[in-house]
Amino acid sequence: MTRPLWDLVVVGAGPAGLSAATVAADRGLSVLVLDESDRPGGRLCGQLHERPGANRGGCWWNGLDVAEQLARSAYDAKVKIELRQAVWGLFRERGDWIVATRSPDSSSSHHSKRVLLATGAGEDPLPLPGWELPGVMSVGAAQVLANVHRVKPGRRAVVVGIDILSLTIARELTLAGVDVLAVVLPPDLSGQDSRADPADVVRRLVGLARFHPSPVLRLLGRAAQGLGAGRWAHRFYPQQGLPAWGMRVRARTACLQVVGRDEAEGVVLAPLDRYGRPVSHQAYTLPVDLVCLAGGLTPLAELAAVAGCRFAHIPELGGQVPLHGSHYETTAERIYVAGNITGVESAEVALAQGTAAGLAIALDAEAKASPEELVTALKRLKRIRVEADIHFLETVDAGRQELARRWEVQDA
Amino acid sequence: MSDDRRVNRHPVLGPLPEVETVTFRFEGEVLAGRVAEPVAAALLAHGIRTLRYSEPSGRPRGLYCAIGHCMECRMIIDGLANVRACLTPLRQGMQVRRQSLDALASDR
Repeated sequence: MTRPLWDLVVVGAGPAGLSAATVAADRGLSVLVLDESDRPGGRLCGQLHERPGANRGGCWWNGLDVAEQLARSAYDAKVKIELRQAVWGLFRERGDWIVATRSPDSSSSHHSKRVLLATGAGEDPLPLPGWELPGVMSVGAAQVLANVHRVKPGRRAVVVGIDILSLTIARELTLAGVDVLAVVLPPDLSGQDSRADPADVVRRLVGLARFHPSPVLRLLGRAAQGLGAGRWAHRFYPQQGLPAWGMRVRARTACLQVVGRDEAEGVVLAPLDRYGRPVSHQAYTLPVDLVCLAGGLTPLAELAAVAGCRFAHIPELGGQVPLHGSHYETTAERIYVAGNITGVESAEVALAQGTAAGLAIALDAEAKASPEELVTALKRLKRIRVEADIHFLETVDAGRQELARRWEVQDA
Repeated sequence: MSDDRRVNRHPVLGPLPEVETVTFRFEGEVLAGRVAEPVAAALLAHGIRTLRYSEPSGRPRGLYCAIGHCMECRMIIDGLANVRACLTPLRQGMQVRRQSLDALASDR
């Protein structure tokens, strides 16, 4: 039996992968989507946040619903979705690609003319002492447990790491009935970690003041703004923290370690002096059974490396990203990228990117798509990027420009 | 089932959808869970957070990333070692054990 030759295999059934697959299939391409999880949607599943107007009667972004709609559109467009398939290899064969997968009980491979990598982003670790104890988990894990699997990850929690993602998920945990006592800073493990620098974190909190869709976070941002401008504003940040949804956001407190015999039983917290150094003799233990570590997000680009794509290190986009052009093409022939693998942004941006990438791939495949449609999709992406509810990295525009520049010069 | 660990009601997501309850064995003990939920979630609903013991140190380990990346939740499921409990859907009659050097040795 000869295996089918797909026009397009998409790796990752998140917002970018599903929207790209649907568009490409609509234009007549045969499309297979592979994902390691047992439900489509990727990290959409579990996302839950207020849109503007949420306080005036139920306007929430529920990632589970969005994921369901996306999967339905994909199935309607005759996209084939195979779940519980981990892609571990990409091999060239006579101009086509072989996508090697492993499922829990078998191995297989798929032939395709083109491959779109939409693998998303992963969480950076925060390896503070005691982080290996059961009861310590990434903040994303706590989100999935509470919102998707509907099990409380713990009863009394501390979240370590202060950024938009950690604050959003901390709030979601309170909605699920977890008592979140505080959101605090990580220790400075490397000696130059901006995630642990109160000055940097307070500056980022100020960024919430104007644009964040949540009124509570805008209020938090304004409170931080009220500390004054300049390098030393954080010195006036109250030691006991600023309030948000009944939690304390403590940008002048660091979690030095997690303690416990066989499971997490508490965290050692210490106030930070004006230079951001922990005042050890004032350290104390707060009993908790859940510690959520929020180290930030970074693109998951291993498969692009396996395929031989060239990379650029662009901190504004979250780290190493595959070089790519305006059609989402990479330096590896007929390997495309879309979504958070190209830089950490919100799900809404990933969705719009997927649509544009699906059109670009259809164009490259000489299917029924017009360059004008792609131009429209890219314009829409630009608009969504500006209007997006959540900006994970403030400098993403500069990062995108730098990436475009590097793409241009690599041909020269 | 220890219902206080379940998010039965949620102000935004609503009530927990009804699904079939299945039973499985964890270290010989019979426990109940929701069909097709990850094994790690079913165990957590019973307050079980230690999923394996580190091979070199023997120290307890639990779920860390919940999306299949970190490999911290490797368990022995239906006799198969190194199965990620965060990605494995719960089935009726499943046999689940904590992975450790001793557990691996006793399987041979």
